[in-house]
Amino acid sequence: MRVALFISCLTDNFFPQVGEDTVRVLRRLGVEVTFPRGQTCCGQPAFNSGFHRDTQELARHFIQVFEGSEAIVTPAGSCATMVRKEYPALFHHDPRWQRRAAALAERTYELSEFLVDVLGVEDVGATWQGRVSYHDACHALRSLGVREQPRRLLSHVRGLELVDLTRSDWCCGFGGSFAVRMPGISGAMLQEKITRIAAAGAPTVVTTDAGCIMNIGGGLRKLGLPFQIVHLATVLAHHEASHG
Amino acid sequence: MAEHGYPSQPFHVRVREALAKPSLGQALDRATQRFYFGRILTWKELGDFQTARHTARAARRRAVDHLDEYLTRLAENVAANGGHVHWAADAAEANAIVLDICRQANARVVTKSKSMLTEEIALNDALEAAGITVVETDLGEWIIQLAGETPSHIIAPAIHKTKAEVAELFSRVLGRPVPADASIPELTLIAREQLRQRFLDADVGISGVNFAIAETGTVSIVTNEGNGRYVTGLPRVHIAMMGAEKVIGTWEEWAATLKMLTRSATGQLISSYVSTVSGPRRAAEADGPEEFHLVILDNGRSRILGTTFRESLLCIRCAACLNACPVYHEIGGHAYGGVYTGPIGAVLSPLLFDFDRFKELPHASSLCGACRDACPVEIDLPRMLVELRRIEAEGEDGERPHAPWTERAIFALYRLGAQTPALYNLAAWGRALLKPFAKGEQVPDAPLPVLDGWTRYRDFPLPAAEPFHARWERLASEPVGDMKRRDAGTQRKKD
Amino acid sequence: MAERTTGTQFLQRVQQARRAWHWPWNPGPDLRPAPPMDPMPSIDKLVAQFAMTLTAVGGYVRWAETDAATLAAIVEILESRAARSIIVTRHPDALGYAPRLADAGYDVTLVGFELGTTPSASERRAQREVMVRADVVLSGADYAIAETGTLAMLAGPHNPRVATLLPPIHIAVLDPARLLPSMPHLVARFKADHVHDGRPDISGLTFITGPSRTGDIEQTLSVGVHGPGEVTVILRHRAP
Repeated sequence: MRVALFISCLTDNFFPQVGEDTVRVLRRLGVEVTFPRGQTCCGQPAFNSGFHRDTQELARHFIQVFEGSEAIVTPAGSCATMVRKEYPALFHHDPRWQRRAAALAERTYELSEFLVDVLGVEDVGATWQGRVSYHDACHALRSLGVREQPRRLLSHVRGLELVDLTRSDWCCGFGGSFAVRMPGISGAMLQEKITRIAAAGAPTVVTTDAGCIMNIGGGLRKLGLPFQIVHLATVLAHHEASHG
Repeated sequence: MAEHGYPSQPFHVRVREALAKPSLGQALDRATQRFYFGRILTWKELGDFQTARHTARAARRRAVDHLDEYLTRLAENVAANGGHVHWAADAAEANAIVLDICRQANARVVTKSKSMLTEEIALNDALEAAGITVVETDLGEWIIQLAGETPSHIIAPAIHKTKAEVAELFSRVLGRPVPADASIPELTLIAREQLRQRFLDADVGISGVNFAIAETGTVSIVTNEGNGRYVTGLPRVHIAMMGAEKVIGTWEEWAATLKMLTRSATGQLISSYVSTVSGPRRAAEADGPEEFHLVILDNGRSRILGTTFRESLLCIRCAACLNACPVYHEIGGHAYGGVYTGPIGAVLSPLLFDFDRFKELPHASSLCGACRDACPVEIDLPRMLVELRRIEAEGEDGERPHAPWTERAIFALYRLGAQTPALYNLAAWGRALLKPFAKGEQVPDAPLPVLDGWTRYRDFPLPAAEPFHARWERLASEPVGDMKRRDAGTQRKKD
Repeated sequence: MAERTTGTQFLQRVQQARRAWHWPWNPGPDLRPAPPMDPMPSIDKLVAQFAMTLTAVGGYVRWAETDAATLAAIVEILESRAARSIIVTRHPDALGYAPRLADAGYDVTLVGFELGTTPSASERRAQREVMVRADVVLSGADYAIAETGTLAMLAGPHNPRVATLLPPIHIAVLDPARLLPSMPHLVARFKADHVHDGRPDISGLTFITGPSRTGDIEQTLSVGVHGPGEVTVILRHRAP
């Protein structure tokens, strides 16, 4: 099988290692990965801020870049949501583009749902020593219904013990421009999330979105707390050989 | 004094005050979590939750999509039952209608059961200005009436008050001290005693309407305390007040929707009391009001009906979206500055009232979607919040946008950059810009206007020295069988 | 004063608005509430479920197969609460206990009016005075719902609507034949019994589920705020 990697702008620019981990996991499972070079941002920041004409331009660009691909996989749940749920609605006045958007939407997957639902794989052969908690990224969870897939993948990682994070589905307060527009509220939400992470006690928190990693990771560092947040792909790419 | 229904202070001040008030966070925590878990528990018993939601939504949608027809039928049947129907285009007209009825009834004391609609139109102020004594009889509403405040939660209006604050309020009313450590049953008993005589004295009872059933001209009122039964049963005149959207077609649809209301609101299978009222008392009946009036209010609803925001009119005011909302959870209801709070308030306030004075509310959301999941009639609240942001950013059909030009310019630049892969080299630019403020790979404080709010609570990562698209060539040539994991632990915390 | 909005003007504005906009996306399946199709469960099952759901919301259930056992149960409650003044509604399931309670020395008043009479305003006022002072109300129920532990009361000559609200203690005698599995069943029965050509023949149908309750102070449950804090249903059925 051949998939096009949609890296997402946050992952591309801030967490390139997550992109590498994603590629390695997919390849290890025999998936051929391509990287359409023209890709940029899916337009979510503009969309969420209400600039929908600008978003349409970006969506058209995105559709043109990815249209030839058999399947599109991204390690970012919110970006997958943008393409899958928002693109078709964005072109409701333009049937021609709406058709193209809808066709693309059907073939776009968040990484963990691609692994579990499309490839039917739950054990990717990874190893990770220690206790881990899981934070549900909002869009992956509520717009894509990604709840069980990451947990199943984690449950098959050797050496990994999955511990409960209370209210793992409670938003961490990122929300894109929300975090800079409403810093007080966003910060209060983040503090609550961090308190729960500390209460769960696992040194590592896993999630499926670069936004949450940026937000929670930044908060943990600011407070100097001994917890780290990593992307699911990073855990799944990790295996014995990597310690060599 | 603040103009009714509008905030007296800017949004950021309201938020700051809400976040700084320690007892608020505690109270909200207890309350919203209790409602939230109560709701989850009853849903478990509800068998096919999705079917139940679809059924309730469809019932609401049929009514709203044929609103004029349903209202016509409702009005005909109320009249046939011997009731009077009044049509109010706006708040002032609704208040004038109620005042007229009260005057004709020579009313001195009016009792009210909880009604968000009467909060919306400031009915109490209008009646009191005319010398009529208005008594709120829902315990929470009574508490905030005594405190001279507005509700902070749609179904638990005094959610922000602690027991000790209530005891202090009651002391003032009774003119004798109520100990700050009085138990909640003791406080409840005080309310029972104080309000009981009011129920008996009232000449007119004013209630809200949870649903109005078109096919028989029946209104239904849901309470837990029993005050709704007193207000609709004891006084000589009963005035029921409804927003035009509250109509529903049949008793079967009513049952399907009522079930969703009580479960979503408080996690109860059904409220302690549900009254259904079909006009005034019939001649042979033992008791009940002699006159029944139904006031149907527009106040901006028909305007909403003709737009993409129609979906907001499906709302049954259960407050599940408030309880599920992390933002509401942090700031409470008063920060929303209007009568309707939480996610549904963030949608309704700019639409029903002055857009510009509530335009921050749609931004007070991380768009996490918890409200949409909680809504028993599946209102897509995040979609509407984004659509309100769109109107602000781009303007409504030929209208000037409300967003400042600076913000519009930023997104125009962003679009240009992101559309042109050659320009899309955010990492290099950002890294160069932020490097001077960085410690290692993190920016702990950024003296830049946009990042300032971010770094108050978090470090900001420097954009990667080598973004992914620059790594692809090397990665692509990596042999598949020998995928050594380079840079293991890059994401881990650096010591 | 400005002209009042007429129904026609109001409805025209609504009609224009609803024609001005249509869902550009699929707004969801157009389901209608399914009529209750499931066969009626046995009385034993209904009774057991009712007892369970009522108990879960803080109501009390007692079992009595005979009139004598019912009377004994009522007296036991009255004694334990030191209650003296009792109002009894003219509901057929309750009415018969009034003389026996009076014989037992309680201060008993019948409330409601006989069918076919048209009570005067002063008669109504007099009844209200009695109801306000009563310690206990004994009533029947016109219907009951097993799924939720709910009693349904029709407003009628026999059932003053505030009789079951004013006294702090409510005792209801329930004939299991009045039990229905769920609200949709009740709606079907109510319509058959009391709605003729789209007109309800009564002005009120009230549902009572357990005691009066509030959570308005610190979201902590407190009972008896305006209505009865204690509700006991005597089920005319053998104990399970």
